[in-house]
Amino acid sequence: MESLARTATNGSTGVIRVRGLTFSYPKASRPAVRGMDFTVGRGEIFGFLGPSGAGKSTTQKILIGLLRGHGGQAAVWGKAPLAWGSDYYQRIGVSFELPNHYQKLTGIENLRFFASLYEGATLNLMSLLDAVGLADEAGTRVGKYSKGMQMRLTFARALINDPELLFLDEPTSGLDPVNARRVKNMILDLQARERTVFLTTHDMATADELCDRVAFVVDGTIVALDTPAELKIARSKRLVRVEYRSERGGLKAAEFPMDSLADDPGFHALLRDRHVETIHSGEASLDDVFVEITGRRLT
Amino acid sequence: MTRLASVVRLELILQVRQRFLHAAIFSGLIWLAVLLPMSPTLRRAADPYILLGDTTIIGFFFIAGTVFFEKQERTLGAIISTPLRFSQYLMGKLAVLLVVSLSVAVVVSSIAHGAGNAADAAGGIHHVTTIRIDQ
Repeated sequence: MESLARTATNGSTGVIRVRGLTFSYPKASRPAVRGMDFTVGRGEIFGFLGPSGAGKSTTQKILIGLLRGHGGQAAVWGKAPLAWGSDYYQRIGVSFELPNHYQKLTGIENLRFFASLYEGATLNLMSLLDAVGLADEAGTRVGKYSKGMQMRLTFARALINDPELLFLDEPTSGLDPVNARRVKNMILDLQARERTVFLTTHDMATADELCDRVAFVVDGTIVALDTPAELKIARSKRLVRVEYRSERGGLKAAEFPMDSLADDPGFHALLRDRHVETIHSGEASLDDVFVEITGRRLT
Repeated sequence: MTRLASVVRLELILQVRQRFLHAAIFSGLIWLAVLLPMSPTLRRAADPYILLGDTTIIGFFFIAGTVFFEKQERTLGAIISTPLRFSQYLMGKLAVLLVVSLSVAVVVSSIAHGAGNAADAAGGIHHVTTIRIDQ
């Protein structure tokens, strides 16, 4: 598959390099990961998409160095994560899918403790809380935070050491649109500073907006890997759909082939004679593409 | 601050806020309630066993409580994704547990026999432990 063979689009230096990765949990009837291949380049936002149980989290745990005993090769900056030792964690940040904070500590106390575990300078903690909209709640115990606030604190904690490589698991889950926007903008800022982001998510809209490339993961393998735009265009209907007002004022729709649009008399007549309300190309959404490729819907 | 010192500081704050220290003090009071009504001879014989039991029970109780909170808060995953190694984390926890349980033991012993006899009682613990290891 040509798209699977494509390497990172951003930057020539591979940060993550995975070849023939396999992993089985003890006593499991089938492997959780069955031969994955991908490369993530420096400064790239790489999306890892798939339904629950597809092997996304297992792959991420292997890359973070939390799981041993995998087959194949998984290298970060040219070395297996476990071979790096504690130096590895100086350079990476991890944001988990579920909040995991000391509930009896305040937001700032949680960040202070984690900041004290890193050698060298860390980011200004109050600025970090301010960036995720938690500055006013810095002195409140985390046990009193809402889930969305805890998720933002998880995200902020992952940035404490200004990591070169960031693993994000559902970073916008449980966030209202304003805070989701805030987190997405921060991720894009990280990319602008050449940080690499490995993003695991169910959320196709977030992946479409943020990711340079996405991998669709099903049953422990990658079934498609490309830029969101290419994946969508490859499965688009080459049609233009026009919604317009009829003579009686009702809303009607007509479709025209995209390739002959410039010379289509029906299309021209519609534009000239009718009140047009909307014009859309038949571009597939990333969700449509996922369903078409995998036969499954993300839940 | 070194990582180990950070863990010790964290543990102390958590022990206070999760009210484990309150539980340790309560445990010491219970032992005193058992020891003080005894005759001095019986108290001297029972003291090492009670203190050994006290330090052991506080240790187990605190470990069980810590594991419970860690599972509930899922904090271990966050910890092992930092430069802190699990052995350092464990060492910090054990250091706090050791200090708390020994402090309770010394205070209980001092109150039961007077400060001068606390060392004898601690020697008693060592004596009992040695006998058990020998067996």
